[in-house]
Amino acid sequence: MSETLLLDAPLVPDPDEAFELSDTETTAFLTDDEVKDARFNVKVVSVERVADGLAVALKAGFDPMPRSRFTYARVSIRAIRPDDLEFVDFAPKEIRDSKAIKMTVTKALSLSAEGEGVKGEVALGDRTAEYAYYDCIARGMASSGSVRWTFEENEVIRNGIGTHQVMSFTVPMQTPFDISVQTTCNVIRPGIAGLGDKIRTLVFGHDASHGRARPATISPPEKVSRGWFRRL
Amino acid sequence: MVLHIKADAVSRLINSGQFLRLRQIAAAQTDPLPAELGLTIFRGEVAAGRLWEAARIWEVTTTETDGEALIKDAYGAFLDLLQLDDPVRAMARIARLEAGPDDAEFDWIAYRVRSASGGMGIVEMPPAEQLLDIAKALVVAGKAVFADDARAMWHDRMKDVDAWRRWIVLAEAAGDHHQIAARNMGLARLLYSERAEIAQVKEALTAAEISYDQISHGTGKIKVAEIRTEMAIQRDGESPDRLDPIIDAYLAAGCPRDALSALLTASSIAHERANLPLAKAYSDRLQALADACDMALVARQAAFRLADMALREGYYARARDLCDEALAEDMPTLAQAGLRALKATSLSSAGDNEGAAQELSRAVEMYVDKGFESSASDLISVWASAMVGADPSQASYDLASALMDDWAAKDVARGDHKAAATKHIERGAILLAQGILPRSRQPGALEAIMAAGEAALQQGEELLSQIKERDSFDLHANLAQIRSQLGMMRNDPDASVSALVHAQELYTKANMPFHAANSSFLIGCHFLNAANAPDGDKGRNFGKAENHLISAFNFYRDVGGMTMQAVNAAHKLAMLYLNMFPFVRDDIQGQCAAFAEELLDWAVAAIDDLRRAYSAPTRLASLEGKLTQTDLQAKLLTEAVRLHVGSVPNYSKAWQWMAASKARSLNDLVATDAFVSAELQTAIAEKPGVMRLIELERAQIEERLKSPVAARMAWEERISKTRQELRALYPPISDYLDAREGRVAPAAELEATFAGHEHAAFIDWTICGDRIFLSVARPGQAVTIERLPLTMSEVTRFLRFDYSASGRRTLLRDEWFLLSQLDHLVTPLSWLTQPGESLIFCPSGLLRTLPLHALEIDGAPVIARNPVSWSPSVSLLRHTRRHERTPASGRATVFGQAELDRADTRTFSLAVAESLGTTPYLRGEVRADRLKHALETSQIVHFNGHAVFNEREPLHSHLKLAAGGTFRARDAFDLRQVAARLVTLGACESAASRLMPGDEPFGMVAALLQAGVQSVIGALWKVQDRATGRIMAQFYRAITDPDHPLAPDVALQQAVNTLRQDPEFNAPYYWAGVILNGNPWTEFSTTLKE
Repeated sequence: MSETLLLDAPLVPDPDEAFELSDTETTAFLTDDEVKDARFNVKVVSVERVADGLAVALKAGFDPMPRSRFTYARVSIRAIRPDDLEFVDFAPKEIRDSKAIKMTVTKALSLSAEGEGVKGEVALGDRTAEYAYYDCIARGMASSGSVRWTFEENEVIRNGIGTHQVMSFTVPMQTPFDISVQTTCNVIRPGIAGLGDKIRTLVFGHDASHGRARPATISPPEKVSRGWFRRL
Repeated sequence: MVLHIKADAVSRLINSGQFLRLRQIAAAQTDPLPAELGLTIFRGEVAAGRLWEAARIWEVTTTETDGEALIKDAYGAFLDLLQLDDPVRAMARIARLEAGPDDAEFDWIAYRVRSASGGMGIVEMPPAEQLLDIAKALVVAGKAVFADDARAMWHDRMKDVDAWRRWIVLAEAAGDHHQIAARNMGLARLLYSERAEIAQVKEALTAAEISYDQISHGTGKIKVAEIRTEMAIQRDGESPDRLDPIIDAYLAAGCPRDALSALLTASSIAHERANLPLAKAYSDRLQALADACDMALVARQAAFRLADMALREGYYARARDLCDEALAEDMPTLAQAGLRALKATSLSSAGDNEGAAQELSRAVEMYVDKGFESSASDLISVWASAMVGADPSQASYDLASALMDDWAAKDVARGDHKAAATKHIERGAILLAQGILPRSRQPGALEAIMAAGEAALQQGEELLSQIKERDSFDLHANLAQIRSQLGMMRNDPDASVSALVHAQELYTKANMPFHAANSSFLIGCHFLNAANAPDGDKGRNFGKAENHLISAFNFYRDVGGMTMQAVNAAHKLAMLYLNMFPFVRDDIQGQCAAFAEELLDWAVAAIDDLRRAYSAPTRLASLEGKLTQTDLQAKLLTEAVRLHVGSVPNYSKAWQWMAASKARSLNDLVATDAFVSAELQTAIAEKPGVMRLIELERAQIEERLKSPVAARMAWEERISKTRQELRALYPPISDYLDAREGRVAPAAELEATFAGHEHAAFIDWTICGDRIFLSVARPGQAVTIERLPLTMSEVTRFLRFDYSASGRRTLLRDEWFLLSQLDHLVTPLSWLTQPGESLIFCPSGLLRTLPLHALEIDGAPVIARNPVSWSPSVSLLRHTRRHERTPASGRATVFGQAELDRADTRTFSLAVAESLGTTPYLRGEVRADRLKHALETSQIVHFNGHAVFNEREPLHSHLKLAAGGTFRARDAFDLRQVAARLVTLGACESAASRLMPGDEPFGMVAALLQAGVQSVIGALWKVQDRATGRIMAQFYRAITDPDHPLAPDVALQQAVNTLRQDPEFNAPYYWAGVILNGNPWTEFSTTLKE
């Protein structure tokens, strides 16, 4: 199944960060102008019918400005419509090591993300339709009609959170449903020899009324689909 | 004057042990003494351990010939060694003399100096064979007594029983009873040290005794009795105080050195048996006697023992300080290495494994440099443990294992199979310890760890088979204990417990009751777990668990100095009784509850006693030690809440436990700071007697701090006595002293705390294990406690994921609907409190970091319904309310925009200053002296800058000032007086504090409140300046309104609720970060804006 773009939007500096009572001793801020090229997008990797529900795999795309990298990102997906929409399960829940991951879904719509033992077959950075590859620390959490993930760079390697991260969830229905997507990303532009680093927190929209959470609709495929998720 | 006596008469006195008579003779010698007599008396005084007198005699001894001068100088070297404990100087002097006239006596003395210096690691030990040549030369020189001493030394070194026996036969043939006795004593000692049959030792002792009788040798008979007593103590398990009559007899006979030796033996045995009070008593006597005899070496051993005991009793900081104190003096390498090893153990016990590994590395290096491989070998296991403790990486474990393996091979090469076996057994333990690391969860990792551990244990076992069993009960026991651990790792509890039972039997055989008690404790825990298992045989397992735990508890409690272990055992027993509770008959239930309560009350009182001995946490080690206690206290609190809320409901008692646990750390905070509040000083100014005692107490505290560590206990007793006198003389001072001494009385404090404000409630959140309890306390009413339908794991998950520093702003501003999952934390307030009632929040641990007032009741945040303030404990709240009695005065002072602040904060500071009718100090004006002055003279102090929280040393948390200046939390206690009624810390995360289970926070807020500030406004996160500016402006206007001033909690509530109405700022991120701590009802005087 080919990936389809769900949303693509520029990221803007968090409007409150610069107005917090704190000192500037740690790291300087990137200016608004310096971060204007940062973008975030979400693609639909797969929507599959499973039992009475759907298994959805999305791919978050992080596109920082040149000479910079994202060190942290939080992506939240909130159920909007229908009113009783709930997430049954989600994956990944926590992945700390760089390895190829296979998402598995059961008939009860529960999801798991486990290493496939294919280290030799999937090189670092290689991504196939079947495998997700996390070279950062990925954690997920779901509650109160929301499912969210955080992606943090490895503090030792400091190579950012990567350009794409896969997030999957299941819902107990097979009709189109509405969600909203929100993100917060920490971006850094390294200085020289550890000096002169500049940081900024980026979000969608300057305030809540200017689209900090972006709406999106997920539609199931017309035919019974099989493929991206491994079934149990 | 010279008492006329001949040298050979003095020799006879010495040989027959008549040291009292010798003392009289020596004391009478004031004029110059001829060499032969002088040096004979000198030798006698050395033998008696009276080194100061020996030195005086040496000084007055004159010499006429070169030979005499040489001998005298050689004895001078001997004196350097003994009196000054300066082997280097002694050896240098001997080396200078070697070129002098050839003399047998000189060679003999030189040999002894070299031998003693060798023992201290200064030079190589001279070969034993030289002794026979020296003995022959001494015989030729007509110095038969010295020749016998030299031969005795040779026999001692050769450890050849048959040679001793042949030598005794020679003495018997000569009919020399003195020699027969002395040689039989030597043989008895050798047989005893080689663990020969008891009958053989007794035979030699009897032979010695008969000969001593023949020559009426008083001291000799005491020596015989000493060995017999030591055998009874070591082999028959008698108490070490059986040596007391021996020690007294030596002292009465004028032989302090022998008394010291017996004291050392008694102290060592008491120490090994973990009878710390007795060991300490002996060490104290040892120290006093060694000081009196000027025996530095023995005194140092006493210092070592004191440090070791402090360590065993859990006083890690004191143990470390004692070691440092001793290390500060010059000393032989060996002694230094020993002290470093002990210091390392203190450090690793306090959690500083890195420091420990460094000390051990130095100690091992010192031993190796001096050729003391066996001493170095003894340290390897500890070093390896510290190494993996400091860095639990795979590389570290590999290194530690290789190190131990390497040294085990060296041990075998040295013929020391016991040391090698010890290494392999401990290597096995270290390897198995990897089982608790996350990496052991990888497929196959645990199996590999267990296989490596087992292989090491087997190597140890093979080596043990080459040692006599009775010499290695302890090692067999250690092996069994580690095998039990292996059994647990293999999920084979039966194998584990039978290994523990075997270990306990072996420890008992080895006369190691402390270790046996530890095994008993572990067996008890095993059966406790077995009883808790769903399919476990409850009756059988409970009984076994109870027996073993009681046995361990009784030992720990009765032996003294094992408080932490006793508290641990009491906790497990209380847990056992409470676990039994639902499964037994009603009448037994009552007994279970009573036993559990008694144990818990005893345990918490025991910890309270122990924590009072800790200083304020100015040092890492003291704080780490305290953390161990707070962890145990949290466990006790959990069981107490289980008992008083679940098994036999008594909410009042449960709340007492909860409130007391929170009050403790704050009391610790000021426990030893010599701080008397301005208010108290005014009250007692007219009572000279009280003032005098306060000054005395302060002086005593200062003396305590300045005095050597060993003397501090005595100062603590004096301080305690002074405080008792103060209480008796001026009862109102009791509150202040209670805080100093760490006493808490929450129930009594509640009435006084709420006086004049009855429409208020104190809300505690207490964490017990994974459960959270909410309690509501009001004066004169029964306490209500509710268990919340939310677990601490759920809260922690939320905190880690959603409330992390990186995501907090997003959560509180854009996704605050997610906070609803925590609403259960406040739901009971809807029926337990009234709208409008003043609520004082006192959450525990991690809950302190949450904006609890932003959680919702019936669809609206708590702050919309009630004024809310926060207090670290009810005791501290009361403390802040007591300050209301002092009339308010002074103006407001605002500090803002120290050098590093963002430019926008300047605007904020100016706005705040304007609302308070003052001009702010900005940039370079934000200095420590100005801040201190403001706290001493202003009613309101607003600090708008940066705060740094120091997690390791909370009292060193500080506010950052201009030009690198700081104001530390502990500086608050140095203020001459505290006029500030309200301090606002507009600094990011200024309310941050160290979070500890079952205990409450240290930090800037607590320090200011304890120092005398009534209310402190702090921030839970980096607050947004525009929103906070609006809150603070409205708040200040409301509390300083000349006509209708509002109480601070109501003023803050109104300011927050006003801001919430603005759609731009309705998210909790903007309004929930600012919290009021301390007194919610502080009043301000009208002088504020004058």
